[in-house]
Amino acid sequence: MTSPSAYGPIGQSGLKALSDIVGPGNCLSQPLELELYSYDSSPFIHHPSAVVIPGDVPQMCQVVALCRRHGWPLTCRGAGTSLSGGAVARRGGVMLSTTRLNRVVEIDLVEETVLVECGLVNLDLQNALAPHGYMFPPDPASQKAATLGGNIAENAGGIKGVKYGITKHHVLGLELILDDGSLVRTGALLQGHEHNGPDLTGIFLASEGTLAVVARALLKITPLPRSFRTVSAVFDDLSRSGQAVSSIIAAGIIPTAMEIMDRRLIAALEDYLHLGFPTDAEAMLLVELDGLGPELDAQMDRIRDLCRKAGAVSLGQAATEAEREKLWLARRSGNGAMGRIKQGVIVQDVTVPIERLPGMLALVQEVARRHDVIIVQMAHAGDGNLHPHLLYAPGDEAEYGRCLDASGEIFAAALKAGGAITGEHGVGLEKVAYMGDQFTEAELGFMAAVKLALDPTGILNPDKVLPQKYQPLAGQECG
Amino acid sequence: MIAYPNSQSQASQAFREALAERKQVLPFGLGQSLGQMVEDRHILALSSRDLPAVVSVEPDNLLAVVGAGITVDGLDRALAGTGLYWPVTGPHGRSLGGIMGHGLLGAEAMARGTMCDWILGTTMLTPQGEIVSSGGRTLKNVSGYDLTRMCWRARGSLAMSLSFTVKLVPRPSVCPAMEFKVRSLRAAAGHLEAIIRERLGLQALRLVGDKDGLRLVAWLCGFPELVASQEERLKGMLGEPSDLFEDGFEYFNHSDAIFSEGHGLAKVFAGPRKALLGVAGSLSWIGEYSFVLDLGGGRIAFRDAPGPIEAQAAKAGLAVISGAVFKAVGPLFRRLKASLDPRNSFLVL
Repeated sequence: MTSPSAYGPIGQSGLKALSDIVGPGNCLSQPLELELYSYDSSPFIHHPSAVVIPGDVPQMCQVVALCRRHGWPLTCRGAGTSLSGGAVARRGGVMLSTTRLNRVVEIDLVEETVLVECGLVNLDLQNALAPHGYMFPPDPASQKAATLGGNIAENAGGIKGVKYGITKHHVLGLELILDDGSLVRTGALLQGHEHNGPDLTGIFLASEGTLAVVARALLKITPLPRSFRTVSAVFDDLSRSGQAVSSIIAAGIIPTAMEIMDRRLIAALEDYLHLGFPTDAEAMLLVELDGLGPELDAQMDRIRDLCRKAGAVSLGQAATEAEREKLWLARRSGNGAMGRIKQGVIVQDVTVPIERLPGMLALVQEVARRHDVIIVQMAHAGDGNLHPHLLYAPGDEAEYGRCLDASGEIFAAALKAGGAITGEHGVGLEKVAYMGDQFTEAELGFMAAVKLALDPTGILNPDKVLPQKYQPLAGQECG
Repeated sequence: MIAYPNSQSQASQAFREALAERKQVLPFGLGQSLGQMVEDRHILALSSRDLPAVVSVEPDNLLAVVGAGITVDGLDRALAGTGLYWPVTGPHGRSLGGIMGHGLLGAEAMARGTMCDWILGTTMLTPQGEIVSSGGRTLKNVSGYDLTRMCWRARGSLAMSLSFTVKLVPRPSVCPAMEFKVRSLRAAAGHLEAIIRERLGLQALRLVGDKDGLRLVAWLCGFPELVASQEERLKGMLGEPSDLFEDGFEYFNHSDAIFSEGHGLAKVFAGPRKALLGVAGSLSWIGEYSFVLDLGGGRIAFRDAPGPIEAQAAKAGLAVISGAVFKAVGPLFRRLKASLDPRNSFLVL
């Protein structure tokens, strides 16, 4: 590790230099402006010293180079939907907003690829692809706002992960800005003989903006499915819904999505959306298949049978597209609905191997009881990804503390089950203290060498992913 | 000197001893790309061949843990009776570690992506001789940097893969390959584009040219109803097939050999589909040499190819794959190598 030293202050001359690059209207430094960029979707709040909103890639490069030259921390931000504190400026410094780089550069239907700018919103890409009969499969719940740069930085997952995989499975190449402001390409964006070297695209997926800044990405696109079948199964016991998921996977069926919602969430959604959900149910499992009709019907019959055997007390099937949309609207509205219970929320995203899912669901219930906190459970169950939502009243420090304690216990249980502390939300600030529980000293040291290689002065999104002792530079608050 | 450790700790020990003797280490799997390097007394060639081949198979979790020295065929045999498979084909006889290090693609890459997409976790040997793991046993896992993908196509120059946790999927009920005769390269290009635009969800799509003429080969996979529907749509576009292979795996594994024989037998280039088609079409093909254009893997192999092919390929921006010297180009690799392996313990070929 390099010896600790301080990050440089920005000051008026720094603000002018930033403003000269992006234009005065795209460099923000007033307190109220900075307040708007001080938080993301996590509980963490840290104010940047300046916010810049570049209009093109060369401006981004100049901003990054300037930060490196002066030792200013640099945090990239798409839509600020990070649930782990990935998009807050922990050390102050410069926040680079990518929102003006929001173009679909080229859709190529022969190569089945799309070239996008990093600030393009996920849903806007879906809308651009749909008329051509294609989609970009990663569909995080925040897709209405989340940008593709953010999706790449966090390696976002979503509901369709079971069948279609997650962001890293659909990124063919990246255009990246290194810490010195230089622009490099990876993967399918390499030219000719460069293909005879390593493809380092993958190291930047889920690197949370700590290794480089994503400028543009070449993405693989996937044909839209032609038909769907969606079934809902109601259970009087949460872990039985998990058993149904395990048995569906064990039967060799790979649905597009399998989502579990617990009693509290069902009730909150019913209160919020009035969809006619059974508020006395302990759990509801949504299973969706896509493909061709005859193939789907046979699989769906099998799924219904497996749900019954796992203890489903009732089964329903979306008969129309409107009914299907209604079910998924409910699933996607979970976070909003929970705000009706308590306004503060910590969303966890531990993963466990599929066969451990039922036990993990039950364990989270037990953790909630023991710590006297409300934990609402939803899960991308088909890929073993639980989303315990730990609710607290903002300002109630004692309750917040109990939620943190409960989170720690959930992390420990996931690791004991052979899982991971984060499946799709990222380490960010939230889980960085738990990285030592998942990884050995040697593993963290090896990752630290990667960080040191690409960001030796530690300006790129400091304090994220790696614990403090593995950060290249122990900086201090920026002026 | 060659070492064949039979455990991960033995591999680490052999590596550390080599470092103590100031040797560089060349990781390899089964040795297809090893060449003459092993005769250099300053180099230890460290093989993953004898590492435990199958650590565990867990059908309920759709995964298996295997040694880096296992072949795709070996893994397939280990999965017999589970109803599952690892959807990465050949190249035939290569170890998983070799496929990772060389970034080799199978025909199914069109539908299934690369090997990396089917790895959940990796255990590897670092340039310091330590055994570290990345990823894990779940599809979703964003804890820390993805060191597995860092090793893709890096030829063991940053770390040596020791074992993989591979993701499995249900074995498809049917997977035939259909072959259609094509009149000309121009017609073939039109057909290929039309098939892609039809979004049939094929496993692989290939154009073959040799003394028997030009043929399009499509690989279908899935439930019988899906495959029947795909067959009908293909026939609607291309007419009756000239040949039908019941087992597409076998057909594609066999014909993939042309991409593996990189020692002067064939010239292999990679690049975008349109560029590959352009190169094939620009040569006024007359059937004097054979080629296989694999749209899935984004590559084309020419056997007994005439000289102009290289010039055409370069003009089209294609990468030369066969016999190409590993070029650790670019600032990214240079920076990583310097930081991860400052003593240059792993040889860069």
